[in-house]
Amino acid sequence: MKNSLLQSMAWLHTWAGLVAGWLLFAIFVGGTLACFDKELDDWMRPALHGTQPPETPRFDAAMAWARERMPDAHAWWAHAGTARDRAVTVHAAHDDGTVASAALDPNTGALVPDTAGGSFFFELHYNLHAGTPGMYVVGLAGMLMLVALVAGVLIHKRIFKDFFTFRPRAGGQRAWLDGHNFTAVLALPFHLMIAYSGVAIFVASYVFGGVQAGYGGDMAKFWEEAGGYYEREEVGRPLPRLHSLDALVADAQRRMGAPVDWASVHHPDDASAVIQFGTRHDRAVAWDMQQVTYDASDGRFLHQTPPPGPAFRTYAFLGGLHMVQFGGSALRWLYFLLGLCGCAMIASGMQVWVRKRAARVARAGALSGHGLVRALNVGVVGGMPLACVAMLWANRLLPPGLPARADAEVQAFCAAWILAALWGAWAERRGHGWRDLFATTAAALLLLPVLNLLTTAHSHLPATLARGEYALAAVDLTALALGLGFAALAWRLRGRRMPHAARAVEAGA
Amino acid sequence: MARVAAAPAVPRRRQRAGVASRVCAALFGGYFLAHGATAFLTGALPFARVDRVIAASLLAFAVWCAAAIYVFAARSAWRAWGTLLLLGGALLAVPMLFPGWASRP
Repeated sequence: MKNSLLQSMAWLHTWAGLVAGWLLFAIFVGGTLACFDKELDDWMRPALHGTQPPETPRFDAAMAWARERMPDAHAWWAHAGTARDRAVTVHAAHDDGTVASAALDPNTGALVPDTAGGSFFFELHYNLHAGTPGMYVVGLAGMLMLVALVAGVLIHKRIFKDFFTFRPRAGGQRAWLDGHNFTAVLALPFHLMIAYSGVAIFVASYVFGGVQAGYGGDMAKFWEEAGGYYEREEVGRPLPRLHSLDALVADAQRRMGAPVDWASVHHPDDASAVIQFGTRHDRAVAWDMQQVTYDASDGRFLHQTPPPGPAFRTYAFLGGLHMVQFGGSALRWLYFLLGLCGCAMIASGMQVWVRKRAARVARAGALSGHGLVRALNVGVVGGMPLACVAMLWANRLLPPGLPARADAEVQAFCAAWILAALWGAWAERRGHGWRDLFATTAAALLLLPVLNLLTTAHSHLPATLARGEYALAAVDLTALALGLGFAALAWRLRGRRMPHAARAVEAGA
Repeated sequence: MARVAAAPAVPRRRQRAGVASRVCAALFGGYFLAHGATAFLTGALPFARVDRVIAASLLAFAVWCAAAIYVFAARSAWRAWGTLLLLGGALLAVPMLFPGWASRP
């Protein structure tokens, strides 16, 4: 197709990167924010600020809520309130996939105002809030990223030298390309690791050759051998009474040798119901996937998962490496910064595409393939950060008692993104779409702590700093820092009414 | 890309068909090769069955990625399709002909 390996790899890098670029950018922004999904969850529930979750987690109030809401569910499960995220979150799911969720005060069991929370970004990151099809789309985007990364390394003859080359004042394509190379090469091991471990997490949904050859396609048998999980067939008689989960927590912690993080009840309306407990993933790189199982009627101990085999530990290691629940907040900050590098790599790469073709983009006009790429760049890269901030604003501005409050936050996110994209694409025809969106994002971020001060009694910066709740304070402070960053970007773009090439074309026309 | 545009030997429509064919080869041919390699490695790796399945499945992404790179480096789209389908078919045939080998405990 092309004359040399170098040229065909350059072609592959350009087009794989462009096709997956906007999707990957959204996935990267979601993933970067999801480094602190629990901290954002906590920030978005001001009702619990200043409280302490109990030493031993409690689940009975959560299960009582689930019974009231969905007595014939396939399963109920609840996450304990922790220092990172104080609320007890409870979910109940039917076989058909409908899920009901709530957040409770970990001490009193009372409902707290609902929020989409940082979990919104986590789910956006792995399935775009589009369920199983979304998960496949994200997986394909991950593979495209892997291919673009390998092709990108192959076309780099001077990978070491380029790393030390940054000419922001060179302007146009040169500066964007330097920025693209810098953020890509600086964090290359991270990008490769995050792309590979990302697709590996859902390996069971993407790759079937192994289970087909080894187990004749019997997925249940494979999981039974791999994870050692316990299941009981339904018997069709009602469960007389659900044993207290709280009474079993101490025994579960003793058996696992680890703190209980979540509890579940499977087919709670059937006499075969079981109570299960699992732990957190913060004590080693690999996920700690062990579970203990009790009979739901009399609380009798039934089963504990055996230690996983070497390959399953490898899988859990890859998953843990991706999700960074180990290593504490220092490592989460490192992932956050490297994630920002990834966002910058993708955004600048797509700008290289536009600037390299600046003359053609200008000649083709807004209603063309080139114009579409330019508009999508502004709409996605410039619009999404503004949408994320809009969601935090909505969290503080929506009344606490609003029904379906979490959905309203998500609607604010979507509406802000659509409006920002339209505005950006429109303004970019005159060359100031980027400046407008960056300036608005900067203002929204810089004013977020002010809004927090005006709308909350004890969740604002002075209060959280005084109480030593530094994770909450860090959200406000990070908003300030990012706000300054966006302001600097907008400042750099001031007065640049139109790209040089566009001006040249207009002058010539 | 400018150099390619300057080469008039290949008509534009044929060039586009070639690109579309390669894209499909990278997606479907590449997945087929990864599928075959996973099935083959599930038999060939020297571990217990569950470990063979997981290890082979985790390696599938590397095979798919390498296949996609190869497709765009190959001399022609036909050659890329041929290589992927032959190699993938051969790898898949082994565990299908000897099912007991891949599913031994």
